Order: sequence, then structure tokens, then C-alpha cells
Amino acid sequence: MSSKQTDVKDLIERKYEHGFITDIETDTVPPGLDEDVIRLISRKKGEPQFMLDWRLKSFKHWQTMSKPNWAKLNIAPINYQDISYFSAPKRPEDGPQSLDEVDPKLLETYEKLGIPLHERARLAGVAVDAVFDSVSVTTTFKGKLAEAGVIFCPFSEAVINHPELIERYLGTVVPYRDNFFAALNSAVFSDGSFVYIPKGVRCPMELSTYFRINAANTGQFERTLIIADEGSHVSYLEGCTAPMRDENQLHAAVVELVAEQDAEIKYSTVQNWYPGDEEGRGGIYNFVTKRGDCRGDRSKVSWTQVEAGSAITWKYPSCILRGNGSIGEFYSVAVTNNLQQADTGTKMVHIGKNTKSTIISKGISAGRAQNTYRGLVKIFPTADNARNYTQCDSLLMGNQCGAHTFPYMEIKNPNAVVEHEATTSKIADDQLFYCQQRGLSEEDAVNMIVNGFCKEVFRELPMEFAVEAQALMNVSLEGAVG
Amino acid sequence: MTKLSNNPTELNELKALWQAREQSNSAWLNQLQKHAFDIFSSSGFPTTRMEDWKYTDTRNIATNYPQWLKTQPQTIAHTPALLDIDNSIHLAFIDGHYSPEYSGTKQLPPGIIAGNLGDLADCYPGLLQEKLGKLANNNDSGFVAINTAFACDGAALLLPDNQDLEQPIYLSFFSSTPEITIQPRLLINLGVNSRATVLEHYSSNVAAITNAVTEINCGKGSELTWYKLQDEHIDAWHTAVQYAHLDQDATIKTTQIDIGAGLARNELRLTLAGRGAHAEAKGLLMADAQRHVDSRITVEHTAPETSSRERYRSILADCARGVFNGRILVQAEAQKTAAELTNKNLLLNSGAEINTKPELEIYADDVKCAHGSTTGQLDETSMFYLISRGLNIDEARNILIRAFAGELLTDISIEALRNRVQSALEELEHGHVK
Repeated sequence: MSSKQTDVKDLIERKYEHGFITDIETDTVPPGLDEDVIRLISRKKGEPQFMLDWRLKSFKHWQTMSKPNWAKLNIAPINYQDISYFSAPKRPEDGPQSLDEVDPKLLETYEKLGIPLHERARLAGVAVDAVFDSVSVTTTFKGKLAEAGVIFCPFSEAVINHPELIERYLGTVVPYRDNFFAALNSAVFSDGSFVYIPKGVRCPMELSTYFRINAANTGQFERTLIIADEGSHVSYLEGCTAPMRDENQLHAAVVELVAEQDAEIKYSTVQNWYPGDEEGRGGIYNFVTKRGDCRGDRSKVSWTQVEAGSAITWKYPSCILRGNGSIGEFYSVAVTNNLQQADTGTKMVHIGKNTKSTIISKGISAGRAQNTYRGLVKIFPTADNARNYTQCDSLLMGNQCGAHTFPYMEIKNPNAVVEHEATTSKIADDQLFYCQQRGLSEEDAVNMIVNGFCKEVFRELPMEFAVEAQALMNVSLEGAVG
Repeated sequence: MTKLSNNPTELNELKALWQAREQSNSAWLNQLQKHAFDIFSSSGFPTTRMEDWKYTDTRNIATNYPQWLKTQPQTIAHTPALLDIDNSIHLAFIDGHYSPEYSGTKQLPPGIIAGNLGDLADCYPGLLQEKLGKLANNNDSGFVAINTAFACDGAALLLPDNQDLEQPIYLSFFSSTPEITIQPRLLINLGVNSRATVLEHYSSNVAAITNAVTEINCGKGSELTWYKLQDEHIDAWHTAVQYAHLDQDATIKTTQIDIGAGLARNELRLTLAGRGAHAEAKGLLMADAQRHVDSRITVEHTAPETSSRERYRSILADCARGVFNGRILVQAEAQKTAAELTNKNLLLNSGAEINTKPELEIYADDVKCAHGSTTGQLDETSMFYLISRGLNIDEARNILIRAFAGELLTDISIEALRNRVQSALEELEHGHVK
């Protein structure tokens, strides 16, 4: 850790790093939402009939629903007719076959984001699927993955090339009736990633997707589906950024994970959507439904998330522990600064016998932000010997922010052991004093303490992400102390 | 949250009853009751669609409330099962009405009044008006609003400054008329540096509805030890809310014990509003059969350097359902707050269920707050240890159950209360030894 002397005022005024807008031609559907728009999206993507039917069914159901208001969030009303539901970078009819054919401006965008697709792919051995606005732009390492039998492609491609898998699994973990935003996503989702790991295969590399919203007035509705067949293993990373704009943009994604017997899925997210400025203008509304279904015995789903961006985060990655002996894990760091609001947590639903779950959540609140952990641990009468351990710690920086913990525990089996612990405090003055006495600046000392506070979660992240997450944490909290 | 209004028939019946009720001579009391009834008319009884009532369905209470409200008390057939507390000031309420006959104390000491609220308001103008309905919030739930709207009999303890009341005040509420609704209203007001011990005891031997509201003001430097024992009949339904407001350096020690009722819900709302105020809250919830017991506590820290410690435990057997909700709320101005909450739950049988939610809501940064919750069964190693020492399974089990509850019972200063809880514990053990 360097002891750079940076003026706190400069830090506060420092802008969101990823706030550039890429000037490329896009094919955008005018704002508004009705059945015709959904038909248009479906037609543009050349989808089979079953997909269109499913979208329309979802749309019909969405129209009967109203926005959930139980979260501790203050959300300005959203006019769903003002949003454009499809925006794709214009490209030659045939589309790029390799990275060389990708619009160089787009590649530049990714360079700026710090994801040099070439470099990263070669050095880190990571296969990247990049989703720009609503459409998946490129997927690297497809060939190598195909050798192992792994399917990793944009969702729209999977719909065309593997309709049987899509039809069998889509909506089985997060049904379109699940909640308001999931229904909206089911109706209008444009792209996302699709992963299928065949029986007994350990995915040879980490899979990764970068999401970016670029066009103005668009919503991003991506949908990710990961299927790990019996005895397989996959680690999947997801990152996201968006340009700085004064208006709020909507992001409503759905992620479905299916883990069959003995399969393991590790899903890591570094979420850094534009959080809005210090007055709370602009920023992404991040309303995401993520759920993993441990269908098979001894299967495992592990969520790791670093939530640093977004004006509002509403996100509860969950695990349905259906298989006997299945395991669910949730590691989370949520940082809110300025006027950001986060209501995030997890749900662990124990249905099978001997199921286990671990929840580690670290919330950091600074500025005038509100940070909420909301979680559910539910033990069904069938879940003999179920075990849960939950730890939620909150750190407060500044006297205008809030940190809240709402853990729900519903236990219907006397053999279950459920433990929950939570603490809330500020950075202790003696810790700060100690670090400063050793020659660290206040800013560096705070960064160091915060990183230590989050260590339990960071160590669950894949290496490249852990470094990024730590850097992100420092950027997000800049100016919070002083 | 969307508030669903009542079933129109219930509401109309209640309206008719409310209009026909005996009005007080005090305009302010009538105004207070009218205001409360207006709020009730728009909110109705709570439903499970409301977050705070998610696990507790009060539909049966709502349906029977008006009908049972019409029930006139009958002459009491059995001697009520009351606690025998040495040297206490005893105020007995039978079927919701103050009964000097059963009260142990014929001549109430100054500062303690009991009877019909309307009469009391006439006799002690000013005194009640200043305090009654000031802490209770009719918007909190339909039960609070309807208690205020109808409240007829109640008691008030108005302790002047610097008074140390040695004798415990024993308030007993006994229902013996089948299908009756009682709505006791209590007011406790401790002056500066005064001290008191109060026990609220609710029991019944019939199906009845109890809907109680207590308002407690603890003046600067005062100290209140408050107990509540809910020991109602298994066919009885019980709801109660207590509001306590603490001034600077005041201390409140609360213990609430639930051992009865078919459905019970208790809500304790503490506000630490003065610098240095301190609260210690304990709760023990025991339920067997098909009982449903919902216990909740909210501690709001609104002043700096306040502290609170909450310890709640539940023991659930058979198909009993327990609900616990503990909320610590620290407002922005309450810097240097220390708050700690633990909730431990013991499930004895399959079929028993607990829904627990310890919450922290914190707006100040210089605080130390923690909560913890555990749920499980009796510890196998402890069982093994005791059995290896020659005890049989039942004995080992009973020792562990008693130890689990014991921690909350040791410092109960009223012996009769402690004995009653011990015997309830034994009943629970014996009924459920495998």
C-alpha cells in the first residue's frame, strides 16, 4: 500500500472511471412496451415460436403485477413506456466471426474497461462473452471450450442452436411469475450468456461475461442460464459498467443456475454500474433476480458478489437446496457511498436432508447512503440435519449513512441448527491511530482496514477479480473519510 | 404495506357497539376515543399481508371480537388462579372490570388508581389527560386503536418524584366468562428518581379475547422493574402492546413470559429518549400443543450514550409455532449507543416451528450494535455428558431444558412468579418426555 498524499477534495470530485460513452451506431427500438415490441425483439433475434409464446405469456403476467415495495429503498417512479427495450450495435449482416472483425471502437471500449479481450483471454485463460447494451458482441475461446464439450455462447445463439436445452431449462429456476422484474425480463430480455457443462466435465477455464449499457434511454435485460450436468464443475465471472448519464437507467437481469447431482457452480460478480453523482443524479437501477437450484444430491452453488455500483441495488442471489447433502454459499461485499441505496442479501431454502449453507455478508455504508442486508434462511420439515451459519457485519463511515440488517429465519425442523450473528460499528479510532502511527495516510489506513474487513469475501473471488475488487473498493470509498 | 380494511359486517357491528358505549363526562377522553375509532375504521384489524403480522393470523380474533365484546360478565364461579405474592399491592380485574373484592389491597396507597377510565378521568382531571394515549400509537395496529377506542377499565400508577415503592404492584387480569372480550388499559408514570416493581398477570379458564395496552413513562433517573406473565387458557387469544419511554438516566428491566393462550402476541416498544437511559429486556416463550406465540420487541435509541440488552428465548414442543422479532433502531442523534440482542430457540419436536428475525436499523455511526440468533435442539454432547454421569435420558433432557430457561429466571424478584414459571416448565417437560 502506497502512502500517496491525495487531497480528499480531489478524491470526492473524481469521476466514475468507466463513465465514457462509445460513439458507435446502434440499432435501437423506439421507447415503449407492448406486444408488438416483444414480437419485434423476438423476430430480430430469429427466435423459434416457443420463445415468443413464452415472452408473451410473461408480458401478460407482468401487466397484472405491481412493483414490489417491501425493500428499504426509495425508488422514484419508473415509466416503463419511456424505456427502449432493445439496442444493438449495428454490424454487418453476417456478424463478426472473430475478434479481428469486431468493430474496433467496441474493442477500444473494452480496453478502457480494462478487459483487453485478446490479452485477457490469452494470459488469464479466461473465455469472455461481452454483452454490449443488449447484444452479445463476441465470445472468445469458443473453439477450445467446444473440445471439452462445454457450450458457452450468447443466449440468442443458444436459442437457435440448442433449443431443446433452452426449452427444458428456461424459467425452471426463476419462473416468469416469480416477481415483477423477473416477469419483465422474461418478456423483453434480449441477450445474455448460456453455459452448459456436460456430465463429468470440469470446465477447463473460467468463463466470464462483461456487461455494458451504452445507449441512452435503454434498459438492459440480460438473462443468463448455466447448467452444470452431473459431476461437472464451472466457475463463472460477471462484470458490469455503464456510462455516466443524468437520467436513471434500468437494469433488470435474471440469472438461473442449475446444478445436477455432484455438480458445482461458482458464480462471481463484480458489479460496478454507474452509481450516480454525489447529488444522486443518474445511476443505474439494478433490479436483479439470481437463483441457483441445487437439484441433485451433493450439488453446490456458490455466489460471490462485490456490489460497488448502481444508484439502487435490489438483489438477492439465492440457493434452493433441494438435493440431499447440497451446499449453498453466499459471500457478499456491498459498498454504498453518496446517495446510493442497496437492499441485498440472499435466500437459502433448505429442502433436502443434510443440506448446508453459509452466508457471509459485509456491508459498508458511507456518505448519505443506505445499505441493507435482507436474507432468508428457510428450513423445511424435510430438511433433517440442515445447517446454516450466517454472519452479517456492517461498517459505517460518516454520520449520515445507515446500515440495516433484516435476517428472516423460518425453521420447521428440530434437527436443524441455524446460527446468525451480526454486528454494526465504525472503524475503531485505535485501529486508525495504529496504522497512521506506522506512517500510513488516513486514506490508506482506511483502505487497509476496509480490505481486511472484506477479506473473508475477497478470498472467495477468482484471482483476477480479487485484485479488481480491492481496487474498486478503494475507488468507491474515496472521499468517504476526512 | 397495503392495509386491508375489515370485513364490513365486523366493522359495522363494532361501529354500533362503539356508538352505544357509555360515554365519559370528559370531553378529551371522548375525543381521544373517537380519534382512535376513526383510525381503526380505516385500518381494520391487521392481516398476514402486513409485514409485521406475516406469521400471525388474527382472523379468528377479528371475527369474534365484536360478538364477544357484547358478552356481559357472569358471576365468577371459581376462585381465580392468582399468584400469592407477599406484601404486594394487588389490583384484581375480573372479566375486564376492576374488582375491589378480589383485590388484596382494600385501600389503595396514594398515586395508585384503578377502575373505569371514564370515572377516573372525572375524579382526577388533568392527571390522566396529560398522559393517556400519549405514547400509544393508534396507527401501529388495529388492536391498539380499538383498545383506545373502547378502553373502559384500567389502572394507573402515578408515582411522584423521589419515591421508592418497596411493595411490588400486582395487576391481575382474570377472565372467567366464556367468550368475552376484555380491553385493559394501563398507565405507569414514574417521577424523577422514583422506583417501582410491577407485575402484569393475565390468566383465564375459558375462551376469551384479551387486548391490552400499557403506557409507561420513566422519569429522569427512575427505575422500573416490569414483569408480564401471560398464562391464558389454551382456547384464549391474547394480544398486548407496551410502550415505554425513558428519560435521562432512567432504567427499565422487563421480563415477559408467555406460557399460555392458543394464540398470543406481545409487543414491547421501548424508546430510550434521554442520555444515559438503559434497558434490559428479557423474554421467555414456552409453547406446546398447537399454540402460536408471537413475541416482539423494538428498542429505539433516540438519545446519545444509551444502552440496551435484549435476551429472548423460546422453547417449542409438539406443533407449537413461535415467532420472534427483535428490532434495534438507532437514530442518527443516538451516537455512542451500545445495543445487543440475542435470541435462542429450542425446538423439542418435529412439528414445532420458529420464525425469527433479529433486526438492526442503524443511522448513527459511532455505535456498537450486535445481534445473534441460534436455533437448534438440545446439545448432544451435553446430553451424553449427563447420561454418562448416570442420569437417564429424561432427566438429562429436563436438566438441559431447565438450564436453557433458567438463565432468564434467576433474577426474577417475585418468588411466586418464579415458581409459576418453574411449574409450567415441568409441565412442558412431562408432557413431552419421549
